[in-house]
Amino acid sequence: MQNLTYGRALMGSSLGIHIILAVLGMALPLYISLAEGIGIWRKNQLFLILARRWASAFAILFAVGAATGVIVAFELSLLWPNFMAIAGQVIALPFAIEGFAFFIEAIFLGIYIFGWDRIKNPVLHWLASLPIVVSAAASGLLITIVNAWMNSPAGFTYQNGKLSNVQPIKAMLNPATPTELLHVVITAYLAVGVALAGITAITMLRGRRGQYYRQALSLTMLTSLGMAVLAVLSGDMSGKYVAQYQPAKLAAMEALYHTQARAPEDLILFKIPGLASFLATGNPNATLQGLDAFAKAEQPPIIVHYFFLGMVGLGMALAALTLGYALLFWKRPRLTARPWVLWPIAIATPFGFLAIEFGWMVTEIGRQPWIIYHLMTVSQALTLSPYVPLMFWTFLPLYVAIAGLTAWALLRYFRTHPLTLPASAPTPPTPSKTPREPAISR
Amino acid sequence: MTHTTMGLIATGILWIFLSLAAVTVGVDVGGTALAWYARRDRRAPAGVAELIDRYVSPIWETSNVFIVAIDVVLAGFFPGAVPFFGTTLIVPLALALIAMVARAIAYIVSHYADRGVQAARTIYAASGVMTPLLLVPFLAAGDVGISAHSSLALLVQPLTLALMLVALTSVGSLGAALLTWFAQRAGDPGAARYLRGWAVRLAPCTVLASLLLGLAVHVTARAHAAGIGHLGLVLFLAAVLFGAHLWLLTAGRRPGLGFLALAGSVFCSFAAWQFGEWPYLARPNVTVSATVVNAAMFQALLLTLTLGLLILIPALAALYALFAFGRGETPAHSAH
Repeated sequence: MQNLTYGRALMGSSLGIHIILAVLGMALPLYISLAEGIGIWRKNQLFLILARRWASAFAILFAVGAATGVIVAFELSLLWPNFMAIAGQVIALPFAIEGFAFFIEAIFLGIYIFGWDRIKNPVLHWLASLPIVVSAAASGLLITIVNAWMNSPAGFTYQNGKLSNVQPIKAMLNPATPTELLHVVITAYLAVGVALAGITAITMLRGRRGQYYRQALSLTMLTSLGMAVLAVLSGDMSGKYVAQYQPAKLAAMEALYHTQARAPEDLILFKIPGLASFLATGNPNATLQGLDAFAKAEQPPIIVHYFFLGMVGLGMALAALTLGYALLFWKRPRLTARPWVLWPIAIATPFGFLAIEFGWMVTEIGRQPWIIYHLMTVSQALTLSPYVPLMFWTFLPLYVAIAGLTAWALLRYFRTHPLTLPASAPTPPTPSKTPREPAISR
Repeated sequence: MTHTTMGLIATGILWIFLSLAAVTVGVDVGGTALAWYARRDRRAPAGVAELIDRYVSPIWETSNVFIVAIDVVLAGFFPGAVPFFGTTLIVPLALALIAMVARAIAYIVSHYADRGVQAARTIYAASGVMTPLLLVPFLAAGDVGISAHSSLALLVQPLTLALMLVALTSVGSLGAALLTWFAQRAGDPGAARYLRGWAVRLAPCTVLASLLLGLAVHVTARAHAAGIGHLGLVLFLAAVLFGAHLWLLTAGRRPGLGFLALAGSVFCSFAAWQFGEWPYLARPNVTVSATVVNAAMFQALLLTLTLGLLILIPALAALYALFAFGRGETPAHSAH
């Protein structure tokens, strides 16, 4: 029992830190590619400089994310060997494809960053970013397919402890795959877009002004608005999937203790009658199963409800924030650099990442006690090794070190490579004593 | 396809990935260790450490990929073997993970931060050398009959220690051999001479360590030794290739060919080790045919590997053709 708690805590903290880096790894290339593409199209040097600075940050984060990814990959086999024994039979394919997607991403990242000053044709250089955008998203999505399969296992027959009739493609295209993939990729773009906007807003609030920052802000905020709208839609689809395939998880998400018609949405301070039924099925009068419909041992803990509220609340806040910014940008563009606009954006910097962490809590804790839904429990999957608690206490300081040193290295890098804008730009260059980042020479 | 045929092919794939990982990681960490030493060696010609950094640091991500690939290949082709290896290897692999993460952080600090670069380089070299030492217990797991509760004991078995010694000398040899070739191609005869000196000095150490390993297998893992004995031809080929490497090295000719001979020797040694265990993956309970994956997944994985390599190999070739022997800069440097 104690080993189970430590095993879950170790896996949870490993994923908790890897999720942040994986999301950055999935989504940052889109913004780099967008900035460079717009820069080439509009002949706007500021966008090109922006793309280059984001790419430098990406190179650092990519290296750390690869390392935390190695941890997670091995921990699956070390902590949950009995899970891997089944998963390997049915859902090994996306792991294998992901290996190649990651490799291709690394190769084109090398070409892209190495080619800044060497590939003379700017469009050709921009084209090298496209395989990165695709393979970065694909890497994350392929691993998400494995998670989707854990939520709704398919593509095999299981009888008397024996697997048969394995269909690898059918396993990948299980019922949870479409909604989960959509929600994961869209929210990754949203979280990273908002975080980039937030960092820009913080920089502006600290006194840096000018066209460069305003462009960065509008690019990220307007893209994020599109992603926020799609995130709400895909979130709704995910909710309806859960209602259909994982009713116990839905009961925990909505804090429904008893089976009832016209199930209310519990917003802690007050309840909205029929809203939970409406969101789950499209019909406010529909009957939803409560936790009492399931055996005690198969009820997920109610804390899932608070993670669910946190996720939805943060997502809605980001939708409102990006919509407000877009309206202002459309009607009163001059006001978009005012502190009362920048402050909320700055505060919202981590909101997308928090929402994603909460979302994974919902999907993982909400599946308890199962690791593979209705097939294997988490405790059945656990290793027999007595070293799990020791491993947890060894890895915990390691994660603190990863987070701290990565942030420190990023800060040191950008401090020693301050932004230098071309002389023609309307912004006065900031004074610097340290070596300058080479200006883009084309 | 029968289980035996699938098992044979899957063992072959595992062998190829193990050997590829050994060569890649060996070149990477061996080169890194040499660069670390050269910075402290007064007799080292100027610029040799920088030359090593330039050619070896892009390999770093590749060696990570190959290490993960072994995990994926094992779990994909031999899912039934994961419970045994996962529990037996938890301590060495957890330590290897720590070493790999420390290395990633050290890489970032030494390339992107402006402080702590010296300390980061030392950690980068040390954790690099630790990584293969902590991964070789995988090769010993099937021979020493370690149970889940004594995963720590696996680290101090005579067989494991002998394997670590071979790993230590081999990574140095691989790194020195490849870099001798690169230094010559880069037109730096001083660095090439220095690195060749290391390759020459490490070769007898590797021979000694290998003989010691042979003794350890013979004494502590008789069944495995007998299995390897049946593959005497493969072992002989490994020796011949190593001899060719040593001859080219001392003659100072064709360093590229010499490195390839050394890499071929690694492949042959792994073949003897892996197929010498046949029909087991790990004695006495984990057989190939009982743990190999079902036919449908086997075919899907095989197809994926084939298609993946068809895309990957041209992409890697393009990367090298475009940049590796270009103006002598690495992606990491141009990101600055």
